[in-house]
Amino acid sequence: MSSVTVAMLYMLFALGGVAVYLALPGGQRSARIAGLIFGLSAIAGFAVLAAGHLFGEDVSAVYFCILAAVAIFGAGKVITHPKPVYSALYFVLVVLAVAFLMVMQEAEFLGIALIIVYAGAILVTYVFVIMLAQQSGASAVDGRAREPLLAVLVGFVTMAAVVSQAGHLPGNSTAMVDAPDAALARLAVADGIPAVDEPGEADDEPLGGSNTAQVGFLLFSQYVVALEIAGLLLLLALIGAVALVMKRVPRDVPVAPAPPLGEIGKEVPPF
Amino acid sequence: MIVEWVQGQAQLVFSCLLALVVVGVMLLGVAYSILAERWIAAWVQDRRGPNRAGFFRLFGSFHFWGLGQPIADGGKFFLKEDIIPDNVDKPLFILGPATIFIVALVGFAVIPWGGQVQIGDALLNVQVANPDIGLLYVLGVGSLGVYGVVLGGYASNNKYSFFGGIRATAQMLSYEIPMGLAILVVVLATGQLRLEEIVLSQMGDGDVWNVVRHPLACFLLVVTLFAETSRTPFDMPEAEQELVGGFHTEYSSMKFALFFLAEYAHMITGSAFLMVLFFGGWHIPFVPGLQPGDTAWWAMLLKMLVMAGKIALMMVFYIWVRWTLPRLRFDQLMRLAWKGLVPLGLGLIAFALGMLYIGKPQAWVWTLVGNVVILATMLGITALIPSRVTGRQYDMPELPPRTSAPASIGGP
Amino acid sequence: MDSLTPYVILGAILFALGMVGFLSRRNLIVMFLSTEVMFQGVIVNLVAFGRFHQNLQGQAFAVFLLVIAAVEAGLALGLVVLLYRRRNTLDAEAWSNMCG
Repeated sequence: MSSVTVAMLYMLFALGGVAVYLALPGGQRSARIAGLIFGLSAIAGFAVLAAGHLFGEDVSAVYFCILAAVAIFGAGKVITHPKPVYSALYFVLVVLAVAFLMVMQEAEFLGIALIIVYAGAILVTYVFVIMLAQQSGASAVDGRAREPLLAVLVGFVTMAAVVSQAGHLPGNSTAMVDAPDAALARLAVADGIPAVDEPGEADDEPLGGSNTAQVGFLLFSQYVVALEIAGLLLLLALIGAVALVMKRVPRDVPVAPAPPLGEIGKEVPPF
Repeated sequence: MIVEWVQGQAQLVFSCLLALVVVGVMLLGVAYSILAERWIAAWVQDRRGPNRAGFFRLFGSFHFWGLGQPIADGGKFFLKEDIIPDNVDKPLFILGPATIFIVALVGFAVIPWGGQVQIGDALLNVQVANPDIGLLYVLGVGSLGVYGVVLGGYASNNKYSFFGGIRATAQMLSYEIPMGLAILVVVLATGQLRLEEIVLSQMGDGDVWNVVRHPLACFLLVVTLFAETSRTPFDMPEAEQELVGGFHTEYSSMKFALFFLAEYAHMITGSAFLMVLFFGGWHIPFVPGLQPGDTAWWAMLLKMLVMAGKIALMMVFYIWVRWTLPRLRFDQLMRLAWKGLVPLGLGLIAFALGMLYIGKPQAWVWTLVGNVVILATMLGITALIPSRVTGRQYDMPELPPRTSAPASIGGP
Repeated sequence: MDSLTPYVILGAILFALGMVGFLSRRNLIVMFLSTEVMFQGVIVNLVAFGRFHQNLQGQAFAVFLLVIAAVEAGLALGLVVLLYRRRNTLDAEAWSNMCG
């Protein structure tokens, strides 16, 4: 990356940081709108930068730009939206975008597993708990953020630090673009990583060439012990969750008496 | 130029055409499923169903047996006032029915309709898409289906809708597990994730439909499909006697119609899935024209007709069950899932793995014997372990005398 | 698209956004949602690196990550329900008297 690109990237990070700071709950409505506008323009800047950087490589670069923009927008909304249900739903958007990115990278099994496990099970559980715990919409908890300035500073400095190193990645070299396979093999050898699984080799796997079969074969041969441990972990979590919730706990704070039936609709503000 | 491009992309063009046809036929099928439901309900209850609305009065007072009813219903839904109540969460209120309908439709992309067809030089798949992960795709799309119900229930800002949403979440999460187990049995038996390959694996020499190989898994899938589409006896999310209308209480006009249509679209998708997994898809043994080698265009049409006929039979079964069986109570529903279906599914998985280990996953005589043994074992265990009868009057604690207004439902 | 850099940048952005959310939000459920966003960033990176080295280790690790996420969600949500029952609020600061 040229130094101009890097400088622009850092400026976009700064813009994004300001956007998240403004959009975090607790500010005025106008500040939130300004945050949204700043955030959108930062994402658009990224998209333009990435499109200029990747233009001419492949059609998939366009897909990458769109999906990445959706994922970042969704993530921003997850952490800034004042209503937890919306946070959860925007997270579904992030999961879908990331799943399509996985499919784009020929990791179909992982993409669909992300959708089934995250969007289909974990997020439904989140929504379930949110519905159980917050029946009347946003509460005072979500009205303000905790140390927003420091959090944004820490987060975005981390981001910039990682990205400044990403500039030195070997994938960035022009050799990659010209002859990806040869460059990859050379780089892999240079890194001391054994260059396993040449593209043609995958079809010789005993279980056929599909991505699911390959990942399954790897999991059940090389990582079989880890897989068993993972299963055990799931069982432990199941037992633990049941044991946690089955227990009757004393209430520290008395529950406010419920309003008479006729006034429930008036007492509860609209969402 | 365009002609050459089309010839190069024959499968793509064919898939697009097929998608159009399938979506059109399916929307029509959904409309007429509703009419069939009303007819069969009337037949079960010994009364007359809708038989008035015809298309036009061509032959005096001949009404075409009420076949115009779905169109009249659709027109009525469009013309009704679309009310969005003040207290609802408006974006989610609109997103709910949209989500549930989209999810019900996109599941259709991977259903194989009729093997392969020869058009010109090209041998084309009669399937919109044939990904490596067809079966997982159906599972993934199906697992998103719960969002429509949950959003509708949550956004309505109504206690009854809310209960409907809560019930739907718990029910669908619970029944997805036995459904996954039943599907896994098929995957273990056939070793395939492509739906087309699963269909083909049921029609080779000496092969039988999967329902003969694994009848218990088929039963498991049927039960969970009823629960996933929240049809009676599992229609707890909308139980109208308890919850008014459940998650769709606050909806009106076309938004309500979307919920209503999505239920039937889900049923059709589920039926197609069941037919592909267990009943040989478009295949009927020994009938010429319905074998994998037949690739003429008329064979394709015949296969699609057979598939549609099988789906229609399954729909009739759905409707028949709805007007025959009463609704389960919610604790019974949960007990059935966790203490009945999940252990059964685990037993079936263990058995299918054993068959795979001895190298005969498709030997249908042995799998059938194994299924009988598993069923007998489960029934024996059920008979030996005494289970407590719950929900009777004498089980309940004495109610305190009612003095003030009842406390509101749904505290933490 | 074989270049690695865009994926790493996307992963870093998702990770950092999740971190900001975890540090600054007060609602326990949203805090856990933010950690899930961080997981997404890590998954993007794992798969991108796996593809870069043309092997499947990255995808295998991501599967384990899914397991961890499921375990975490189950336990964390159980805990949240428990804490909510005690104090009737989801505010993380309601429990600040527990430190030291």
